[in-house]
Amino acid sequence: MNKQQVDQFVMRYLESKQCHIIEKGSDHVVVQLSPEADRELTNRHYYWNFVERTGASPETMRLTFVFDMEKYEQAKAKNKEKENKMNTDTILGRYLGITPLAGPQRTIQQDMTFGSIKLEQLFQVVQQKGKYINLYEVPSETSVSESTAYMSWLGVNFKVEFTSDLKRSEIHSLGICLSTGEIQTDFHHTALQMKLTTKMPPNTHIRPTISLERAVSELQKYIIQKVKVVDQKWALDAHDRLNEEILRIQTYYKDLIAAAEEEDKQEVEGLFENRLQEIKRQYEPKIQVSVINCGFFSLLCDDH
Amino acid sequence: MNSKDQKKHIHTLNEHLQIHFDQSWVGEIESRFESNGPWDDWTLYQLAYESENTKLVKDFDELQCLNQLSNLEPMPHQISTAKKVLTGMRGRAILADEVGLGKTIEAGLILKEYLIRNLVKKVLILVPASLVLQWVRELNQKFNIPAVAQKKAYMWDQYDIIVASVDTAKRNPHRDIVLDKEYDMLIVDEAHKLKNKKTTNYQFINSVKKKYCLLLTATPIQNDLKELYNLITILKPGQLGGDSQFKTNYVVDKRIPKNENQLKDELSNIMIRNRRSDGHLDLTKRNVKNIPLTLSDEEFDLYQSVTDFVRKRAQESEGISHLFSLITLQREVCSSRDAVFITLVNLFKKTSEDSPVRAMIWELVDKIKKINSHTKAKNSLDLIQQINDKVIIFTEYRATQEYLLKFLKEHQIIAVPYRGGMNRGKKDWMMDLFRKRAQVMVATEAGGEGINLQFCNHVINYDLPWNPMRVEQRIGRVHRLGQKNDVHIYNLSTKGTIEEHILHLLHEKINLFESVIGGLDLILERLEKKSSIEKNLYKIILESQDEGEIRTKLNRLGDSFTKVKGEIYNHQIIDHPETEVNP
Repeated sequence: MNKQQVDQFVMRYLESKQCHIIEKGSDHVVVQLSPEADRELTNRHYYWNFVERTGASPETMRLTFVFDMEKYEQAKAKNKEKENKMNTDTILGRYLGITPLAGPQRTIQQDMTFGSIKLEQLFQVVQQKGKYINLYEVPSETSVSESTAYMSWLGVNFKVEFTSDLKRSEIHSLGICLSTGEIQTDFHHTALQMKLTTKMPPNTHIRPTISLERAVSELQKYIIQKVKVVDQKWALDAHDRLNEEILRIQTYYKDLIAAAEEEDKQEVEGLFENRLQEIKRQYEPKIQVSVINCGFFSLLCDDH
Repeated sequence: MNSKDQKKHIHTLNEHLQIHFDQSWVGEIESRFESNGPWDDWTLYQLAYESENTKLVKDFDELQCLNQLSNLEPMPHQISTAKKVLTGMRGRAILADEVGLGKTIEAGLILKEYLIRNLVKKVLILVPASLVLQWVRELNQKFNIPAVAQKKAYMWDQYDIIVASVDTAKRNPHRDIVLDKEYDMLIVDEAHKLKNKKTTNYQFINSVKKKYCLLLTATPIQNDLKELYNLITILKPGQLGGDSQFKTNYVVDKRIPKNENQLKDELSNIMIRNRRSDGHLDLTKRNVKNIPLTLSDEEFDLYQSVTDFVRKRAQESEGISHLFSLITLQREVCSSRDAVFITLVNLFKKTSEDSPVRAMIWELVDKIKKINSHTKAKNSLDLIQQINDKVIIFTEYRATQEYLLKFLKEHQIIAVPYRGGMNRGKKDWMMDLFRKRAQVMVATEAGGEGINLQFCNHVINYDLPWNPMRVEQRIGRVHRLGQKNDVHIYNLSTKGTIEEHILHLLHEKINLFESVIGGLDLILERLEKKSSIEKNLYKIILESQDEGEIRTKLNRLGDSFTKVKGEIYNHQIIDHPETEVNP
């Protein structure tokens, strides 16, 4: 993610949480958080607990997210200079030699760059809060005639991780039609092209014929097929490494166990067992499939 | 199809490979469907997808962490080290760069990479107690890694990335908790302390369960090949064969390896050692200037009287060890009258009231009172004005430091102090003041962490430590990565005093100032087998009858330094001589 991408990402989050934007520059944004965003981002559990219990009206935080700390600091320093120049000519300054502080209210600055702790936290938040959705395609004006036929789709964004001591991952975005069982790839991008709403349009009929369980099973079968054709060299290599490591410690500990005094034997064997386990944990190749998010998409029949 | 309660669904692809499906989402979306919500926001759904997509690790080998570090610009050798550990060494390595090349940065890069790849979650970082906070700070600030310092026992469970002192962790209740956990990564700093496998530290660290492991040390091999073998056993037991195999294959004498090339090959699979001489570190030049000073008559008279006092006391006394403190008097009188004054007063308080020594001490104090001029301070002032740039002055004595600060202030030179006893915040503040406001920093401490003064390139050694390592530390504060100018070192020494002898030894015989001596710590450790180099020097000064004898003995000490250096360079499996040794 470059600076612009982070900027857009953060702004979309703030908007969706109805935060009040106070100032927006090319390198930063000053924002009065909405209560919901405040709970999610400021780690003030005690405060929010207090608000809930006492019913006090909450005071949310004002934060400055900075997308490029260096540029932002430079700009700030320049502004300050300008301000100082201007301030020397205030009436109070001229006659009393003091200049009242007129700067903007101090806010807490937070580094919002790719890899920063705050952006990472925001990632966690959206991953938790953007997990399950249920959306309907908005029918075009002309077709608002009598009844509209919808087809229900289950869309799932899978993350597939090829793991040994090394790792690589892929995202598979799949959609399965709950009436026909048809599977579409790149479903997330298809959905992004559509006009979708959370409200069920009037006169909607949905007749899913495939159970959720069956759909999930079909999707998994699909992924297994996909994964099977991926080059397996990485897994074979990992296996070779695993065997090599196991052989090494077996040779080492065999001697050691043989040479150990009777009373120490158990301890040495325990060490050996630990070593064996940790090596397996490190090298054993496996594929892990998790779900980033998923949802029901009710789409108009005509399109598909 | 399995029941939806089952959280994991495992499918076997072939004899080596299984595919695990996380099923926890199925129940969740089903129950939301049945109760008609609540449903999440479409924008957040998109953002969640994008955040996963941007963090996707598309490649097994390519480093991901580099574009996620906005507070750090790693050097090329640090990046190549991280890559090599990740792919070539399977995440288990000894990082053995020479001091100052950034082992911590390398460890941070590797850790960050594994965290990003989600291959590592639980991390244990074991360091000496004095380095715990420094590690936490570096990981937090430079790498955005949320590491915490271990303080209470509950923290082992509550935090994923913990920095702890070995000595705490190995004791209960911590020990049992730590050994019960499965760590994804173990990092041990100053790992050369683990050379002896009989120690509790060694046994504890060897029992920690880990996937990846980094051992950091600047001196991987010291006196015994066995020690290196023990270190490797923590990482990869059996890498050099079993115990006896190792001995027959690789060891002639404990210091002299057999089959050097094969051993080097084996080591290169498990250890990375970057050296300054590899050109990783384009350090600027060092210019050394010794400034001999002639003391005023009063000052020299004081020096003579103190020396006589020391000699007399030495002859009267039986045991030599407590006399070492007397030499300090001689050193102090070369530094400043303030330094010697304080020690004399303390000595006075310690002697019994009826002792004749008291009178002798008073005589010396009287002489101190007569001194008005201070040759060294005056010359330093001239030097500072001449340099007309930032200068750091090092002294061994607190009293000298105070005096200098006062003296410089009287002459309108802004100077700030720096001491080992200051807390972290004050140290940072002083460094900041030195960078922004002051021309001079007067420091009594050179070791310790975090004094980086690359913006200054003039060092005045107002007096010299007798331990070469500490001299090197002083220079190392400014002559390090990031220094853009040649570094000027000025050694003040008063003619006709012990300072002259020491400077001769350190400069002419050991050749300490002009360049970094590779493996200085190794040489000293071997040289100091019997007693420390400082103690040796004290002994020589005390036992010699005259100046000539002192000089001869110091030359002999210098020669044995050169000899040990030669031995180490010739039988190094890791280090190679960077400069030819010529006695």
